[in-house]
Amino acid sequence: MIWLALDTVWRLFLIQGSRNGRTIDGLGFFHVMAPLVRRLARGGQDRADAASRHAGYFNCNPLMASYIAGALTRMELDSAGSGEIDPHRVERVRDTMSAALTARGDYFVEMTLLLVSLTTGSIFAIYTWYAGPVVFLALYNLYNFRLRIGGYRTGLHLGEGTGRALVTRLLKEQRLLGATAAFSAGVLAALLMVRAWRYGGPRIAAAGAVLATAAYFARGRISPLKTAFLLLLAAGVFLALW
Amino acid sequence: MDPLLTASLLGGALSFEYRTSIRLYLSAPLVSGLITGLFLGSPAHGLAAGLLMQLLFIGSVRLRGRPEPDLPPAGVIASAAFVIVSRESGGTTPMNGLIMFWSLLLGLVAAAAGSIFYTQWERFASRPAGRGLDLARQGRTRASSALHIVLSLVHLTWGFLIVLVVLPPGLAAVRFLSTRLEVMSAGSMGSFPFLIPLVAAGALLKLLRDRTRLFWFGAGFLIATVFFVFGGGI
Repeated sequence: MIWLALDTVWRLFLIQGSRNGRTIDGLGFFHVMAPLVRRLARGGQDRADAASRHAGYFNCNPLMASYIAGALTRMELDSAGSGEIDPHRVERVRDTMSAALTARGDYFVEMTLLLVSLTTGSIFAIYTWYAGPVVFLALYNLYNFRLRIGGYRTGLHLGEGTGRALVTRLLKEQRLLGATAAFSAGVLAALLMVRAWRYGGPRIAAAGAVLATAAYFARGRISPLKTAFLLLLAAGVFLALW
Repeated sequence: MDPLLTASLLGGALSFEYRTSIRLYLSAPLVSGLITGLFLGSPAHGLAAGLLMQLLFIGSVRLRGRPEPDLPPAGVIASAAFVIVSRESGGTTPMNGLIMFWSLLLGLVAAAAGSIFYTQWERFASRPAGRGLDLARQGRTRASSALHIVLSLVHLTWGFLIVLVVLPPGLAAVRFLSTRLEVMSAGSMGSFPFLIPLVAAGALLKLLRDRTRLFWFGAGFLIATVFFVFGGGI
């Protein structure tokens, strides 16, 4: 069992390698489930049947995919002892869990975890230089590993019931981490403003406030890349002409 | 090792790290800038460029199905250009502001190129990935896994190639524009590293607009402002 778990978990870290427009991470997810398929059926039609249950469309946040892999492994191992497994049930569980966990997982990772790690890391980088990247990596990867390795274990333990348990837990942690992220974002904004004032004078601080306002209105209307291009050029032109 | 080859290998490794979802976030510009600086002999310069690149994109949320800027090689390119040209120029402060400006712009060009490439690649990869799933359904699990790994290696190749192609002409351009463009050589460019990070403040505020988060953002802003202004914490 331990070898199956290890063989599955390292593959979870490569799940998005073959991402594409049609099956999204379908091939990546099959790559994760391949050790289980090989364990369930030695070869021939049995293996083809077992593989077919896990070869299809898959779209889920990579940190949450571990829960689904664990839950499906539990289902397969349980039914391997008792006989037949309904392929539609496997598909239904995979689709339902990925749909539920994708939105929740994306929000948790993008809006909360990355935000709190990046803002805290940036504050430390401005203050103490090299500690910044270390703090960022430590904060982010604490959850990264917990969700991926712990997630597979939880899925394996709880089976189909994983989704509900996970969403409840995420909601709880999201509230605390969300407030922390917003607070540290406020600290970062203040730090940047005071630095601009102190080292560039009131004129640079005022120009910075204009730039921040422009960023506020541009985000959501035009892409982050175009926003970055335009604001970078605007800052360059302002300083060149000043 | 040759700095160009070092930066290209880093670009490849970090693209692979990000795109395959190993995602320890060594590829975040904040970290990749420091790593690039370490390999090229000036971690402080690398970190400075990486931090500014990170702040330009902080608070930009990746949306499924939308093209995203290709930040892993962009961070490496911006940091490498800044480290190399700063070292050559002797590294006076206004000069650094100017070099930083052109280096970040070079990084953004690479980020845009990567964004276009991945939009096309995800379309193209549908066919081989579909073939991989067909192999899986036939029970040929190892062949299917091998195809997945081969497709994953495209990210490594892309990261390597984009740095290798963009950096040499980019370095020449940054050198030329930093020394020859008279209108931008004024002392005011020294303020650039203090001005451009403020983009992050606006972007973060936009992201945290709901009532609860806005409250905490405001609390953090006020407390920190009082601390930094009266405590002299900077």
